[in-house]
Amino acid sequence: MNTKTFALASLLMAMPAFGHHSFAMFELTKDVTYEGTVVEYRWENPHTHIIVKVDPGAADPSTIGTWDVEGGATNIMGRQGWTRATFKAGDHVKIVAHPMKDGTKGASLFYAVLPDGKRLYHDIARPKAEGGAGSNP
Amino acid sequence: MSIVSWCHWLQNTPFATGIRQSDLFFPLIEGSHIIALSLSVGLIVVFDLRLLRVAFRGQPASLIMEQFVPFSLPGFVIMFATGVLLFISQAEKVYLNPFFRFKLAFLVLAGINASVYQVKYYPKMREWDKSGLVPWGAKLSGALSLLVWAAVIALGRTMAYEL
Repeated sequence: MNTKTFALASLLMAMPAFGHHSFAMFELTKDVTYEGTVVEYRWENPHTHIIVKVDPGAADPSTIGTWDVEGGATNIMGRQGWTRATFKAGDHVKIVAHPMKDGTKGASLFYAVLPDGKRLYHDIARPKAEGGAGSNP
Repeated sequence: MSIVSWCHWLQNTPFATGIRQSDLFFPLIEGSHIIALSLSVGLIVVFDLRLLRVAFRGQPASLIMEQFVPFSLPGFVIMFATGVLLFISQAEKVYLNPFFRFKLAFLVLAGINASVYQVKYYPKMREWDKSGLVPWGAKLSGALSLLVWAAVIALGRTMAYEL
């Protein structure tokens, strides 16, 4: 490994580690609202990612910064109504997610609020009022 | 071009992106990779347990090998092919994943172990079968095989936690 490669590797490893993990690394009882701009919408497997930039002046100052919000696999999200065109870079977005326990800027998607107020859930995480189990994934 | 940049290029080819973004192919490939384990490693385990005289003690080891081991080959082919496709779809992340590197190392060990068995113990199997005793080297090979494959599976599962 040359120095450049190693630097890149270290950088990538320093980013929130996601994958086919359990949800233990997320603070599942904490629902945080991230309102900002979509930097990147990655509609892919094994996990969909929405990279959101929350600008200074946000209602919740603790959310300022760029967050990697992780969703499910495309077919799981697809069943909830998500598509590859749900978001694109530059869109304004309001997302409710469970932040990482270790404080890195990553979170597990709970739901996104669309401009018309409709919610798109990560998985079968609908509140009881909407016919779901009322729990987080 | 470094390996990382090659992996970066590879995972951004239309083929790799197509797998990654497919609702159908990604789960099919991933699922087949896991299911093929039962066929390949599952049957290897049966044979290893016979070598260690834990299972099928009443049957000659050569018979167990002839009956079971051929079926592990298609399993291995499916695992390898789907493994390559999974690698292609996330090449950069996988290449940088330390667990993946250990997994590859253990796969090489499994290959060396199997080759040693094939060269050293397989040709005389029928002879030592008659005596009912398994040479200690063949037993060691069986034990190593169990350990190494368990490590490959554990590392494969762990690496996916980081993807």
